[in-house]
Amino acid sequence: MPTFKLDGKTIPFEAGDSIIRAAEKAGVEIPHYCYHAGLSSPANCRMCLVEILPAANQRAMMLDIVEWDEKLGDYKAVRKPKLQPSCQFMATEGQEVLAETSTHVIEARAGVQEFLLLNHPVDCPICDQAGECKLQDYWLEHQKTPKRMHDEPVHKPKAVSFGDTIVYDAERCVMCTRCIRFMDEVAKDPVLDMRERGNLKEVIVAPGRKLEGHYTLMTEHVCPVGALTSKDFRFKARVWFLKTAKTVCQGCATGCNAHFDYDPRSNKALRYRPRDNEAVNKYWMCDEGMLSYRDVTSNRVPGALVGGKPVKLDRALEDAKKRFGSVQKSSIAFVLSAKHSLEDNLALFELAELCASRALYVTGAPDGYSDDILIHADKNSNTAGVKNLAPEAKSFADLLADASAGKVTHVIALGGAAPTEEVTALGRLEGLVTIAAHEGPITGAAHVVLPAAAWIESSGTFVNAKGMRQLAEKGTEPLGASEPGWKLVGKLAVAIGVEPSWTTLKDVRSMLVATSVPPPEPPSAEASAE
Amino acid sequence: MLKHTNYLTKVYGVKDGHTLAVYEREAQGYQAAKKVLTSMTREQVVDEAKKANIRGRGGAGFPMGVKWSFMRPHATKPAYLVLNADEGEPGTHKDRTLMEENPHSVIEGCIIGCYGIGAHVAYIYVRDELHLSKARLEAAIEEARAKGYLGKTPFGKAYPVDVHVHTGAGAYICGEETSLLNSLEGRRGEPRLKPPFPAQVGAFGCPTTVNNLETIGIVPSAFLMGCEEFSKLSALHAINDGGVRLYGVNGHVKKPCVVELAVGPTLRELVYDVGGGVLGDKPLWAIIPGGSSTPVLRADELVHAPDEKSPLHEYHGKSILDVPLGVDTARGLGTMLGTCCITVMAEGTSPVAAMQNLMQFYRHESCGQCTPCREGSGWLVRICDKLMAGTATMAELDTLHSVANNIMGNTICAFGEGTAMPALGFLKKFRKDFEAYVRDSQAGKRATLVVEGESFLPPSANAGAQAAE
Amino acid sequence: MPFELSPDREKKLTDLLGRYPTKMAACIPLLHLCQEQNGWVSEDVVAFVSERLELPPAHVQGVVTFYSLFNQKPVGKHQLWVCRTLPCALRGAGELLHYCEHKLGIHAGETTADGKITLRTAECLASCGTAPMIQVDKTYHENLTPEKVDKILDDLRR
Repeated sequence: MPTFKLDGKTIPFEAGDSIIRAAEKAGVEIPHYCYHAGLSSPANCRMCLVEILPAANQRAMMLDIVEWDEKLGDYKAVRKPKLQPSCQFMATEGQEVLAETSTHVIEARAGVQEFLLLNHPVDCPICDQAGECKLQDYWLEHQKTPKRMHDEPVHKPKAVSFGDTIVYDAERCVMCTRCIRFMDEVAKDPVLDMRERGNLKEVIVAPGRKLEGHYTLMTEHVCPVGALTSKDFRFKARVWFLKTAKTVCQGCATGCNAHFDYDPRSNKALRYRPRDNEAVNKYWMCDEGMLSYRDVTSNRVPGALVGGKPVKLDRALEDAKKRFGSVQKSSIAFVLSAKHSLEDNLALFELAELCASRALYVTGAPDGYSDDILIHADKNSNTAGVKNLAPEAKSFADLLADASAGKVTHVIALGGAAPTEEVTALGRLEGLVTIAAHEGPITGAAHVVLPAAAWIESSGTFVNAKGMRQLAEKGTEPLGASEPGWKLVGKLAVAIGVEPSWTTLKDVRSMLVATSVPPPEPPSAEASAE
Repeated sequence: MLKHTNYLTKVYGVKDGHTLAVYEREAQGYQAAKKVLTSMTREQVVDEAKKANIRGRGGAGFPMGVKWSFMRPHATKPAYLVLNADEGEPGTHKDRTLMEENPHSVIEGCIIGCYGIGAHVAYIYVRDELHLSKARLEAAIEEARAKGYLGKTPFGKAYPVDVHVHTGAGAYICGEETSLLNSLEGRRGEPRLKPPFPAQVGAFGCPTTVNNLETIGIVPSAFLMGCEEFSKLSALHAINDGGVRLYGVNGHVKKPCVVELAVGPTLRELVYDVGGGVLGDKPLWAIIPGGSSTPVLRADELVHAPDEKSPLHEYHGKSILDVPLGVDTARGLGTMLGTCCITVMAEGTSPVAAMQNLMQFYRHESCGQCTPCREGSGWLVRICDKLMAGTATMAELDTLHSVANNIMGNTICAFGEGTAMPALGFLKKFRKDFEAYVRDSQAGKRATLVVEGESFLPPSANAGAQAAE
Repeated sequence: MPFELSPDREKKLTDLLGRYPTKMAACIPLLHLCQEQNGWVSEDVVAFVSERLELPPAHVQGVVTFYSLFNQKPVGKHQLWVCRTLPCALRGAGELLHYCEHKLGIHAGETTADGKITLRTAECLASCGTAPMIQVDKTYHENLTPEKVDKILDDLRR
């Protein structure tokens, strides 16, 4: 692999890598606002300027500037080399680049930083970006000088609603155009542009339109400062109080990698942010996915139900024992769920094996909207995982038919979701127990509902449409009386008189290795043990 | 040395001088294009053009022939010639005369230029305000089409050439070549990143040469007489600065004008012989040599070129007013030749007011794309405004040069330098005056840009108008 | 009512489109045509241009606001631009502007009460050798004196 030198450090690169990109991949950050690995490079913020030493047979381009000479009492002519934006300049073999080690680069960065803050309101206390704002970070890292301009700054529109999801503050904007480029290049809807010129510039939405579609929240995500804020997250939290779990979005089969931010003091979920993964979602998530962090509380089954009435878990298990205790175990049907983790599914699959039952079915949410950017028509997060686990499992329609025909009388299911709302056939069952995190047609029809933890309340594995097995960390604590699904399957097994072959998550995971599901991605370093 | 010529200006002031008939009758119009298209290959045209030593007339002074030689035929993409007639650099008023008085020289130059670089279409980007210029160019194009000089087979040669006039809509930055290309394509006039350079990826993504209008306008004259002969007309032929060009004189002179001279007149000749001397016979104070972006020169400066290898060595210790003015000699004086139109200022002119005026211009015209220029140009104006209002502190005065330093070289296009250079120029040359505006809060109120008694209003009327407000 | 071009301007647009390899390139010339007819670039004009040239409306709006000659709101019947930049200022552009403001009773950027004249300042109009100067609509008036300005204003008010 070819290499170049950045501040004396050898940096490998691939053909087509800019200096900043190659450095980024090598774990060296060159400060920047406008550059984003997933977007074109306009080189407009000038924060990533570096000094590229001329080749042996070339001379550096020099510029005439002045400095004040106190002794002389006059200006003194000095020269400085022309710096280059590292986001625009391609890495070349043997090139020598100076950043931290060049006084000119250090001065230029401080200069850009000062310019960006010149007319900035510095309203950090009321800004949602505080704590994750590049203006703040870079002031400390690259400027550290007091304000020299004490006059009234340029005023521009504030709190402009761009649509249902985003608010724009032109005074905080650094004109990096990331939001404009995102809408144009990734969302393929060039609804944003710039108006005016010079220091009167501001970002606008096309006349007669609003910022809408399936990717509006990404404009806030790419904004390096507090110019764009999400209506959903505005004034909800200080980010430094939040904890983050690395998870996988449950909204569809794409399996976008996400950061799940929550307040550990109140166990409150606050937002999703995309987690970069070149192979899955690159740097992005869709709006529906971004807002689906709310599923941790909405539509939940917080405690056990019998006949639709809340009861203690013991009471529910007792009811299950009554309905299932005397039934021929091999006649029980089991319904896996494409919306649940492999761990939950595997536990249920294992129970079916222990019962010597061959009656396996699979359920999940119905198909929905799709596009060719991220959104998959399959609204289940683990379809491929369940398919791999139990390729012979029959469809939910088959379950309804078999229930109608009386071929199936007792069912143990995972989840509340079903591909259809029309589940009257389930009413014919003599016993239906489901282990569900969210309400749905199946919980509605179930005699007994056991409250499962949601995806973020328990570490789990999901296989996306591309067949990639991805680990989701635990974030918030389980809601109400809910417990991890695989654990409840174990308790249910005991209740109906079967000895489960697992007691811990580790047991379940080791059973997973033996399945035909593809090998796992390297597990996250922070994967929490349960 | 002052040498008046009239290759471009022969038809200036002649009745119907802008028409094809007069151009052909008086100036051997279209003979050069005919000669080139019927007797030369493309390569010969470029080689010949290099010999003319025509330094770009738009300000940067890049050799035209060398620029043409960057053009390589592309397998699938056409090539374009684009003329920059977005004349808007403060103090520059030469291209307008050419478009109004001698548009056919430009059209003929386009034919030769297109042939030389392998293009079939030329766009002349004219700033929208120049309505007469546009009308004259359009009429000239029509006439040339009617004669068959433009079209499918100019001069019987199967080499189609067409020329179109394109207009901007009020943006100085569109005079920057890549910004001009964006504007031509129908976008906001924001400069592009270089590389790629226009010769590789220019107009509509195709190889493009962008030349100043006058650069192309002089091409027929050069080819008609032979490019080497043409170059020798210049006093600076030896340092590759050839031929003749339009010189403008404006500001505090008795006879502001545009004239055609062999390259290499001195500033003294321009001010006194061409411009008729300073208004009110005041002492000469300062000169902006080639448009507002070129650093100002004080009239009392002496040449400092002790190095024997310097092109200015023979003038070492002499007045800068006596140096023959060319692209490289101007650079030797620490400024730039720029557009070759000098702005003259008489003693009594306020350097702070002058800098404020120019900084207002740069703030207004900054495209705002990149940070240093967008924010820095506004900051420079603020401090100038405070100096004029008598509210600036010494610390703020000391901020000015660091703001300009931080703009210099750190922007996408040369507009940053164009803002920083004049700012640093005024500061460096007139620091003591600036300090006086800090110490004396009334200095700004007394500051003037005009020569008393030689302005728009006579002194008495001036007093009356102010009283009436 | 949606904006439409007059038939003669439609012809000009057809001619314009033939000049360039892309439709987008006609954006600025077409905006000029529209403004000539409408006096300013309204939201309807932006919609018209974006539809005819198949451009996103945000792009057209971005272009309109970038260039200073596109009026973003209605202006007077005549536009009077006083060049304010240094070479003109050295010849009395400041006084010329005050003179016009005084005679018209408005400040730069405003329109007379009768809606006839909008007074504005312009940056260098390449008329430095004939300063001070005023551009009235499409015509340059150069080497101005108070008498000449009086006549220009009288003619405009008529």
